Amino acid sequence: MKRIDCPWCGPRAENEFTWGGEAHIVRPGLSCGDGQWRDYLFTRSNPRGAHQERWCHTYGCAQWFHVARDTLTHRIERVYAIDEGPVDATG
Amino acid sequence: MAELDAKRLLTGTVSTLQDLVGWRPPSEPNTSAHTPDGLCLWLRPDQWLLFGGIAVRHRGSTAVLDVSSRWTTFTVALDALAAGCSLDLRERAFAVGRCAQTRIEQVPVIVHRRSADQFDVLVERPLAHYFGLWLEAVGK
Amino acid sequence: MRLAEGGTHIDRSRPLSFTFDGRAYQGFAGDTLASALLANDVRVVARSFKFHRPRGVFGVGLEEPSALVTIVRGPDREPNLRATEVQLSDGLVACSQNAWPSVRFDLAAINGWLAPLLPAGFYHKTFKWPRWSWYEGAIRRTAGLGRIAGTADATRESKRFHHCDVLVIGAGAAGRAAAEAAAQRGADVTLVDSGRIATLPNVRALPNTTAIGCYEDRLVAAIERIGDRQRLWKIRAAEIVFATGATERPLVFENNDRPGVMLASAVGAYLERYAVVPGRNVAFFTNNDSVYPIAEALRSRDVVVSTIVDTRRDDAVLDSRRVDCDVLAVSGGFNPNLQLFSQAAGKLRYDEKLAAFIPGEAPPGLRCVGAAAGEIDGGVAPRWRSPGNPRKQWVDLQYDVTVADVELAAREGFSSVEHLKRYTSVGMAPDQGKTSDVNALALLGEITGRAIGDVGTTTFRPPYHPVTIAALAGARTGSLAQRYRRLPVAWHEKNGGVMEDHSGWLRAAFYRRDGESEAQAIAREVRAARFGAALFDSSSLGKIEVFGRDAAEFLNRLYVNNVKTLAPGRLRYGMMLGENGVIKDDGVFGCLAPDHYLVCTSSSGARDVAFWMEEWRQCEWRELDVRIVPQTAQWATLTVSGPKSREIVARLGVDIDLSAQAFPHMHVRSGSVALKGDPQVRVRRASYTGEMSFEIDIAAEHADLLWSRLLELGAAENITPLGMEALDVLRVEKGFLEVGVDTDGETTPLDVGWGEAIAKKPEDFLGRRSLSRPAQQRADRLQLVGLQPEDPQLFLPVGVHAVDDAGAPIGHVTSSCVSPTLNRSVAMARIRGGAKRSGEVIAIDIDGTRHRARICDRAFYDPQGARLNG
Repeated sequence: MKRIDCPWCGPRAENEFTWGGEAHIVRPGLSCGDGQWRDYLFTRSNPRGAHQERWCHTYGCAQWFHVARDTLTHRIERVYAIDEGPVDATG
Repeated sequence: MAELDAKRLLTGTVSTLQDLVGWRPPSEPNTSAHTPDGLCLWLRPDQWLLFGGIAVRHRGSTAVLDVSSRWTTFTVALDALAAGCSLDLRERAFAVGRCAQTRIEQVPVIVHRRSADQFDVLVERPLAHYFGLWLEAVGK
Repeated sequence: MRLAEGGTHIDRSRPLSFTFDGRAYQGFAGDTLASALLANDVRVVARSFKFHRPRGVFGVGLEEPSALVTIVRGPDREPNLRATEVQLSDGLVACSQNAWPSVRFDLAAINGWLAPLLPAGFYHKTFKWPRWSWYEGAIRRTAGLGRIAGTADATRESKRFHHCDVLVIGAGAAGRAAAEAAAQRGADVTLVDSGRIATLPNVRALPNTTAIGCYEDRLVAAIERIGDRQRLWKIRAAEIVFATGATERPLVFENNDRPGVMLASAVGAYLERYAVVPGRNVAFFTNNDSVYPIAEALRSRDVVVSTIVDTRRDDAVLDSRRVDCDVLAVSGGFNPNLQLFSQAAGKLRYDEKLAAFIPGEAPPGLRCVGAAAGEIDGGVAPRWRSPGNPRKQWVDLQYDVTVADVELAAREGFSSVEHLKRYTSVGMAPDQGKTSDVNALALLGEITGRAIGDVGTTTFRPPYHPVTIAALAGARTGSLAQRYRRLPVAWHEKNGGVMEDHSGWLRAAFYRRDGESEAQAIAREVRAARFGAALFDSSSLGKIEVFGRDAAEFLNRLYVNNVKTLAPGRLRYGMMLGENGVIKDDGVFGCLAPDHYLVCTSSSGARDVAFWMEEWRQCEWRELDVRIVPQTAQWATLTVSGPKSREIVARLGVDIDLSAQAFPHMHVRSGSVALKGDPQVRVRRASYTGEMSFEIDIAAEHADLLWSRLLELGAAENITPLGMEALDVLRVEKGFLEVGVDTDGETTPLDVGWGEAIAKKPEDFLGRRSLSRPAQQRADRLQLVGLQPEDPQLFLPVGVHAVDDAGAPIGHVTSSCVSPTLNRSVAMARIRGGAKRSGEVIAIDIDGTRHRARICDRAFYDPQGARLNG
């Protein structure tokens, strides 16, 4: 039962949260091509290692935030605000 | 079941609500404050619960809503709470006067610490019956 | 045999009586069942799992593989308990299991003769002709563990959550020292142990508590024994100290499972704790120094120690000498108990000196101390098997796995330790390999010519020790097993409401009256709604309030409908999509003011839609001035529906003009009602039944009162409570779709006839781009249509397929009823290209028989909607 550090509420059990998939995906406009729309819906980077993703503290403060997590070790490297952009992977 | 104490939901920012109701709700997460209109609990960065019946109104996206039927308040002892709540309930982690939203046996709740051994647990009305059964079962 | 003096754990002033297999015995308070049986010279207490070999007590604690017993308490029985863990109590009734007619004479011992037919994986090799199922029943009956009584457990122990700075697992010398040290530096310390714990200042002790699992971020699950019940503890610690000690492993040699063969450390423990010696003449067989002090202790109590066979010295002697004894105490070395450490991602490494796995790299916050850390005196000369018949050398006592099985696995190519485990089942028994794991993998290494460190261990998973389902369920059984949401009106259950689960809410399917069948009740309710007045509790309807200057813009991006054209006081029936174009939810939304909207969702969709709205508001559209407040639980919704609804609602005394001109269909009004306190109400003229309806939102605390008042006020019109079944009939008669019933994970609004309406909206909305994909535009998609079977009384079951001439499916029925209003069967179905097939007669396959049905418009009853506009 992982602990996740909600930026508002502090460390809480993972069953209070909802995972929101990969972060920093830009929604194309109506005029985009089928391929671009397909990528927006279904294509994800699925890395082995550092992953930036969204989480919501659904059963707590109901706020969304970003998490940089290692998909191999499950370790959460960093928690950052929902309005912050992608973290430089080499940083 | 205890009487329904939570009367109003406030949504907005600290400053827009100050304009609307005349006082500033607590800005620190998961804390409570005694305001001129009653006890106020922080629920989210833009939402508070007020244990007092002020006028229902809104101004743009800042609003005061009636929630007097929405929650049922249970008084729960520390031991009973520990039977279902995964929060760190030690006083150094959850001091008197602090509050938190969490789940107890899959029932979403708002928890507020009244004293070392006593908590208010607010449960939305549709699940209050189930929560009452559970409380009875762990009280044994 | 019980010695006259001594025994640190027993209280000789409190004798206890107990029975085992019907015979009465005596013991003392502090005894375990095992120590008491040994004190009474009971040598055979069980029969082994597969071969029904007679077995006696082998160990002294959690590691016991052989002495599995059943405790009987009145009509209740608890099987598969280790006699070494059962605390003796006065009047305890215990019996052996897996033996018939008795443990001393068990007919199934014939399985031992059949051993050549029962090697590892035998069910893939033997008993195959003509058919496995011929043999399966008999084989299953003879193999196994205990039986349960089938009665429900009377009592429950609720679980406990606990937080601490330092959790020390194991209260032996090393554990106590670690706990004390941590407490002294001011940490909040908790100490757990499967047995007793002598008090330590400033340390929270949890005795009789066995840690069974370590999970991510240092969460530990532990089981506390309280009498004959178990309580689950979930402990979150900042640091965990594993003082879990080490378990002795036996040596492997021919007939090493006979009653009287025991772990040497267990013999020592029985002597010291219980003043019990398992026999009168003890021999030792060892490969290390640990047995010598035990032999000394026995001799000092005048017990005969006939010989100590030490593999390091007496190799040649093994074949040639005969020694008489009634207890053979064996020691093959000690395995640090690192299962929990390993579950917590601790790494192990093989130590040559101890011939055991000791801790390697530890993740932050975890450490091992004492024997668990490999601090064990002396070296071990490993010996993983002996000369003699490999079929009679046991590696896993509890599942009857022998050296021959390990050799077989290696021969057949199952040479990885994980394959060995699964093929032979070694280590998979309830004892989880505590006395067999390392012996098995070391033997495998020897056979396959690999270093033990390279063979490695299997992955350790919780639970470390058996736990009952009752402990995991805790208080959540019986009426607590299912978490139901309840409606605010209590009247339903008390007045014939047949309550059922609808999306997690307990709602009345129908209201039963004396002398009527379910079908009659439903028909009565439907008729009342159509021709008089019906009353239903729709409080589970999702109600979400949306505030802000950008409320309309926000909702316009979510709904397929045009939101910005909705004037205050008006309602519109809307649909929301996922980004892949699939219908997510439908419902009525209303404009209360330019900066205040009300979104109604389906009962099942209330939480999901609110979550969806917040996600877009917080993550993507932060520039919009909008806030969302779900108020489903605050507002009860009571609906009066039918041609007589207006006159009944008028008698309520609401300060709203209810006339048709002032309050048309698809409008919303607010006011107050003449009940105690003059509560506020919001009234929607929206209809799920197709009749004129007034949906009244009122604060839930007034719901009961309003319900009763409406029943009174509508008595002259015979106002009738309406259940879910009748509601379903009414909506099917009107062809109103239900999301999730008439739609699925692929249905888009284009498939249900909304293409034209959507084309009128210029702006983007969630899911819009998906609708222009070629796949969503195909003419042969499953499209929602109406169906009328040629036989007007033929009910079309939901899910039956429509088929073409070749018998290939072309669609299926999604909703159906035999309409009491139209006096015929009608249904909705999704049919390939259905939108262009109106009038066509197709075949419906019901259980292999084809029936004809005509495709038609879904709105079977009052298609113009005239009855809504009264």
